[in-house]
Amino acid sequence: MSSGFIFNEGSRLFFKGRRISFAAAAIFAVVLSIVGLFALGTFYLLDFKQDIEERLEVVVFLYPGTDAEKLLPDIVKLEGVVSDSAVSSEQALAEFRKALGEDAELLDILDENPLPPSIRIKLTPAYRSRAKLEELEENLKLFSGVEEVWIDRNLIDKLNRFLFILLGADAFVLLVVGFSAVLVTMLATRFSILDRRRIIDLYWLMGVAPGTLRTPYVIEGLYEGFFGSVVSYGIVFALHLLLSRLLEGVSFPFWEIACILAGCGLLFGWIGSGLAIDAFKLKRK
Amino acid sequence: MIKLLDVSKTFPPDLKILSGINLDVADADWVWLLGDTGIGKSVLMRIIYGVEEPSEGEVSVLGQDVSGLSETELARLRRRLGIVFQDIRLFDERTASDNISMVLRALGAGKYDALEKTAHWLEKMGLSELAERCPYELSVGQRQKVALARALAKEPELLLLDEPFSALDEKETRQMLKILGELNHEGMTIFAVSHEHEVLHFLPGRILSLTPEGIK
Repeated sequence: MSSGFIFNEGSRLFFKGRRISFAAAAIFAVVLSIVGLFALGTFYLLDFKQDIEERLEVVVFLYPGTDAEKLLPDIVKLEGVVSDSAVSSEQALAEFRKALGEDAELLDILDENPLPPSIRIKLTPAYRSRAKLEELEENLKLFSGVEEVWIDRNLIDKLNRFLFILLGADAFVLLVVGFSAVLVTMLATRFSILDRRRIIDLYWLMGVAPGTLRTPYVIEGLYEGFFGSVVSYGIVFALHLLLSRLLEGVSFPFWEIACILAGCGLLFGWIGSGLAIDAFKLKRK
Repeated sequence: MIKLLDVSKTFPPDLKILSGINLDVADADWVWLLGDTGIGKSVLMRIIYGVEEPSEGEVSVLGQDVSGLSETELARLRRRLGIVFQDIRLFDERTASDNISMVLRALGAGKYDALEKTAHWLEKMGLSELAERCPYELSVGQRQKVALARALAKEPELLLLDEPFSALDEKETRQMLKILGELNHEGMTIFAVSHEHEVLHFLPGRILSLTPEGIK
């Protein structure tokens, strides 16, 4: 296998291949920037989702007179529970007053504190799904003194639905721009093959193996994808710098974006050039 | 080494070039096939090399049926053959040296091995000083010698030559024949075609004639 020759030819095709290879890489950069932007948006939203999930609590309401402190050591041993804290009736009333603000005096008309004692539970990430929460709810109800278990199921469902839609949009964008990128590489590779038809035929006549003749064009496609992804990484990072002025606390997932862009670039380049060389016919009359 | 059995070639719609060609070239043989211009010598050469398919008949080269070979098998067979085409066929924008070394590299030779063989064959052809010139800076005769050097650098078992010395003078032709004679003596089979009947008096090897009736 003449791997040195193949690599040199692939590099020569890209770097000396007139303007067509660079034009293809530029189109790749634009296309991959769109992929990168969607990926960045997804990472922002995943961070946001995680923030909300970390604030998610299960509240276990107890019958009046139940000593919440006594239940804490047993509840924290349950699978899925990170921490728990007791809230007495008095603490609950104080929090409620605070939440009502200026309207808190309405509570003065009550003869007695209607709020029950409770236990607030923080969950492990694995237990932030509906099925797991229901399992936990059943376990909590087995404790004596537990009157009701309150979980904000709607929030969990909304977040999961939102993530599902987002990932669906990502997949759609990836499909559409991926198709464009593959098409561009195919055209660029075909131009490149046509441009060098005479050289290819001569190598073929000299007995050079078909694989050795075809592989440099795949390498050219990989170059186009890779250089396009490098440029698009710069574009996405610049856009992140602009967005971070509007959205506080957002971080740039360096490695994740790099892997997505380089992976997509190489994959689209490989598929596009691979499809183009499939039509690469070696002459025999 | 080469076996042709009732080979004919007709180009569409009905241009018959070759008909009923039978040929047998043995190992380490040196055969010259002479014939007038347009008689079909180059077509026959291309059929032997697997560039053209015969319309009828069987073609066997190095024991392989050429028409039945896949792309990869044909490439593998061509690696064992050397060829000089009538129209020479060099890479126009590459130097004489590159024209040889690039082919050797593409065939799997290491960089230094390819450069060493290239330098050796260019020297043998008397072209060392022209190694860095591109084909358009060389005369037709010099280009023929580069093509011959490229064919020989592959160390072929069978060398096919189509009008290889048409642009060389008698002295240069004799030099080339001397080199080829040594290689033939070492076991290389040579099959050449030419229309130059005037060189008959100093051509080594077996001489055959291609006529409209076949090979005589």
